[in-house]
Amino acid sequence: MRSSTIFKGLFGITFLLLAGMLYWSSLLQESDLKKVGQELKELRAEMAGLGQRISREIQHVQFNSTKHAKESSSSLTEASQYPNLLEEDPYFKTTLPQQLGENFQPYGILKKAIVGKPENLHPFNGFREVSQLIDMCTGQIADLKMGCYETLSANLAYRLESRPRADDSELQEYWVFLREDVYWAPLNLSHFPSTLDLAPQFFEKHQVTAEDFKFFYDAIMNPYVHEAKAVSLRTYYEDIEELKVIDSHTLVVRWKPHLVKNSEGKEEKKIKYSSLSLTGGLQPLPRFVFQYFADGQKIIEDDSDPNCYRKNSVWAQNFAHHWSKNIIVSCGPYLFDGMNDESISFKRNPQYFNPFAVLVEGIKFTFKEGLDAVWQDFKTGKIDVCTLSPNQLLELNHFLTSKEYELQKANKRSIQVLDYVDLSYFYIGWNEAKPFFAHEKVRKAMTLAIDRRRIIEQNLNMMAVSITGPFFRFSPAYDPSIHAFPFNPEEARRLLEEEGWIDLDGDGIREKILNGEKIPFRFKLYYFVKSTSSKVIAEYIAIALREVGISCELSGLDIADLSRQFEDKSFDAIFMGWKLGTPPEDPRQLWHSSGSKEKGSSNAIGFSNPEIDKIIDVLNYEYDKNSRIALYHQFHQIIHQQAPYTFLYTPKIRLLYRENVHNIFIPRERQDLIPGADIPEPNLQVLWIAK
Amino acid sequence: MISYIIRRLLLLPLTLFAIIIVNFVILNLAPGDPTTLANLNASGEATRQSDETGATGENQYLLFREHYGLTLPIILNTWIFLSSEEVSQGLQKLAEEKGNMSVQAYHKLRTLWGDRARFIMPFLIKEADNPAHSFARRRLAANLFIRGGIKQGYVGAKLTFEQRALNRAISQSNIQLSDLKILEGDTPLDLEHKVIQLKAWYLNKGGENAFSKKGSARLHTLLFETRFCRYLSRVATLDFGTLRNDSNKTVISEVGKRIKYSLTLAVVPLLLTFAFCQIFGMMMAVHQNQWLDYSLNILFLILFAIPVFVVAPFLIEKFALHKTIPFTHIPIPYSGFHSPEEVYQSYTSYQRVGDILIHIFLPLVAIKYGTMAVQARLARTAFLEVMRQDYIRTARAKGLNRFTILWKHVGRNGSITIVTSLAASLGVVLGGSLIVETIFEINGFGRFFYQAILNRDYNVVLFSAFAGSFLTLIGYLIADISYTLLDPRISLE
Repeated sequence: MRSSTIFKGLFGITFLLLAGMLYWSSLLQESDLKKVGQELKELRAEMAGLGQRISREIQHVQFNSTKHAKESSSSLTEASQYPNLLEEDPYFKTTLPQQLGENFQPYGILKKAIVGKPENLHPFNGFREVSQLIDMCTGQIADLKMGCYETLSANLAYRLESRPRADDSELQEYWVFLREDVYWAPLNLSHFPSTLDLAPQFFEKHQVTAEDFKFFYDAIMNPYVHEAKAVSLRTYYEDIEELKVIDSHTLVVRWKPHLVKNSEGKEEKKIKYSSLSLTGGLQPLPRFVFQYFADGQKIIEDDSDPNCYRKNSVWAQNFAHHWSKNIIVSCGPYLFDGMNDESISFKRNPQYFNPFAVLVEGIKFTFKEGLDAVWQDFKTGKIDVCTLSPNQLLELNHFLTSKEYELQKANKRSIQVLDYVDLSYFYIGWNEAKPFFAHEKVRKAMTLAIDRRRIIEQNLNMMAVSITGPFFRFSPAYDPSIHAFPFNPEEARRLLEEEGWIDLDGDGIREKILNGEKIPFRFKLYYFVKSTSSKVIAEYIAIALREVGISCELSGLDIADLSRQFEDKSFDAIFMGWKLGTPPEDPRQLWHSSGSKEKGSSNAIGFSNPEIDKIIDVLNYEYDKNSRIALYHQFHQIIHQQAPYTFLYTPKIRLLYRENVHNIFIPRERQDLIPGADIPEPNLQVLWIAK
Repeated sequence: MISYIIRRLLLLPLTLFAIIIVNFVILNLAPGDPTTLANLNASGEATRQSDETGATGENQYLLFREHYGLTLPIILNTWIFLSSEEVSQGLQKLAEEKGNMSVQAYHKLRTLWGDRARFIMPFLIKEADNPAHSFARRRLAANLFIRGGIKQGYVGAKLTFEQRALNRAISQSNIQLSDLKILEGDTPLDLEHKVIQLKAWYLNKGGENAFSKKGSARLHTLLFETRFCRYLSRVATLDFGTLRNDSNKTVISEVGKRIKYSLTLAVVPLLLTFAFCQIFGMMMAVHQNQWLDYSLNILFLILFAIPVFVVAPFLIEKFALHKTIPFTHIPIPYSGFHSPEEVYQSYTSYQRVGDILIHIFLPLVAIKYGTMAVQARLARTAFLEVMRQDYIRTARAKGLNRFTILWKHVGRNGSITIVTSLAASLGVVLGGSLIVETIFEINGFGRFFYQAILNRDYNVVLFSAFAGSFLTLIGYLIADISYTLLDPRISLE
């Protein structure tokens, strides 16, 4: 008994000793391995540094050589019997190179933030930021000239001609001549999960050809592609009759003609006014990626039918779940350089034909939960550019007087401020399907009862401009001669009474007898709950309406639920904003009666007016600039009178950036740089960082 | 005991099945659409793009719904029992009463009939072909027929020869059908023409015999062509699908990546709580109604009352920000599970353990102080009850020393109560601790599942429900086994 206990004890001790020694030796080995690993890493870092230096040198050489190559290129002035509708942008041709001087070299990584994390990077993702990121990496046939609306400058195409059609010389078709020096960058293995085996063909560079543009068009038009952006583009491009590839760098875009009555009452065939800018907006979609599975097999084995991708449902299914939907295949001024949970990076494309398109070495966007987090990062210098909401202005002033900022200023990191007017407006939409807002007088009364000037002055710290209609305040379509309805609660009460909304029971809330039933004027106003300014504005509106005998209940919702109310058209009233497109405006989505009863349409309030429908239809085919403006102004006037929305304001944005970031300016205010510029928003693509 | 465990394990799938059904139904009844076109502008306000329009009408989210099988009924497919009259009435209502319905109600009804279309195709073609009906009604019937005839192919590269052939046939037939859609501007003549072609397609595919379900096919459709059955058939092969926004990542692999964080944050505190509440419970029980008992009681009451979202920032603010670990110059970390990847990778294994420990110290405190407060009070009651038992008095009378009584007799018997309540919390491992994970920026399950719910990522949400219930069941089994170990009187036979 005793000896066995001793034996057990001895055995235990020996075992422990052995285990201890084993652990000790493994520790020694591990630390040796770490040391070797560390040395290897240092070696690699040294090599990478060397590589970077070499690539910088190469870029410098390339930057200068592409600069000279560009100077000597004369493709834009090639002889042809038809005029080129594309011009070279004088800003990139002369102004910017002069500004930069001979010795300029792109330098530094620009750090910015995005609020929210993109779900994926599918080419047709509906998230606005993702579209912008994809645009940075691809580009389109033609661009706007720097700072100017309704212009076309050469981009992926160097010529765009309008030629008479062979089958009907009265009609025109667009001939697009593409640049030959644009390539899709090879994919990078490190951007994919290690479990994915990629075929070697994806690691080669491929020329961007006319087929890629046709593929883009086919993908949009495929009825089984349900991605938000594709569906949205489909409504614009469904008027294309045919998109024909002539050769690898030439394509013809033929738009459907429509019979339209001209000023003399005769019918004539016309294609839509927007056809030119939409043709310029076509983009390439990389066939070498999206027609294939990761293993290099074609998704559709037999794709010899030229319209295969426009119709095939199985391809569309695979496209929605494509293996490359978390990368961006790039051929544009930027190359996609990876995305993780925190950030997404891009580097300058040294091979891009316009060396002035990007003037930094790269750009990195950090994903942030909200504007507060962005502001915190900007304060500490983690990002270089940020925008503020009106309720953060106080914090900015506070920070500008802090010790921390003094230190930053001493280190040449002072904050520069630029205020600009955002291409958007905010409104209260009155749902016309509800008994309260079916009549124009009631809607007008609502507008009269709300003091919009007070909202701008007191709730928005003057960071907004007042508006009267549905177009951008600084677009020619906006009629500045229309005066806003004054703030006049007396008149509002009178109008409500005229419409039969009278306080019958003396409880302070108006009522009306509708179909034998007494209905109190009690409605719900939905607003975005996560925005402080929306909340205070909504609260003010509820109080203001109470003054005229209307009970407005507030309901703050997060973005998904707010969107659902909007799409279902189930709200009474909604406080939201419209981010506007660049002129020429097409008011069809928001105001045409065809969308008034459709779920998900932008005409959420169910607006319907035959005059407005007619103007929208005429605008489609009106080419004369003055007549177009007259039509827009007429449109504006009718909307103003009908008051379907209470137009609240167009916000001003306060943009902050650090002193070392250069070339942020408002084109409209710099006629010396860009004569005729009319865009009031800064272009954040052509900035550079001082060394 | 082994036979008991086997019996329990055999019952497990049945219980799980019941739990899945309940979860599945609740999830499928939850409102909401998967995507939204609204965005935030530069000053953080909700805006929509005026020149962008989403899919309107019944096409909204159709592909998404088809992909996840959301176009099928939830548990039983009773759509096969729809009669010709019901279909007629439904179509008439849709075609002729659109103006009288709210947009929301119309859309709901339209979507419902769209989803039903697959199962009522013989009626639809008859409706479309009936010249007595209005143009609108015939058009609707024809378009619903097309919707019913359009099928989904197999997605992905690794397909068998048969699947490929089927894909080809499906895409051909889909092209044919979508060309026959009756458009807005079509004339009655176009309609006649297209309906003739649709009929030809219908006959070509086997006509009424192929499309109307009879006998066993009917039963098969009733039970198996449902969302639930589709989901279950995948789960049975342990295929939980991929993430909604990245088909390269499977749910299992993403959960696997996060399991170390959540397991550490669940199991370590579980053990710690068990140990601490034993000690405190015992202290309180032994010194019942004395100052120690009172003060601990009050302390635990206060701890229990303070919510975690108050404690976590407080811990960071008071104990971590600008502070170092006592006697060292190492700053106290307050975010992440370990140091940044590159630093962490350079550590040896025991340095890594140390690194993780200092990182999770504050999160552990934040997660467990509340539970500990509750459990300690529970332990006190349990011990007090055991201490009043006859066998304790006997042991004392026998002259056993105080420590042996407390350790061997009171401790062991009292812990049964605590084990029961702790075992139930094993399922919470998967739920993670959303607030703590968010505040301390730990990429665990809590945030993962929360994001999945916001994203309407059905695969992930269902997996979390499934795994959560599985772990809870396993937790109870472990508890049962622990009873027998702690109390020899309990037999599982």
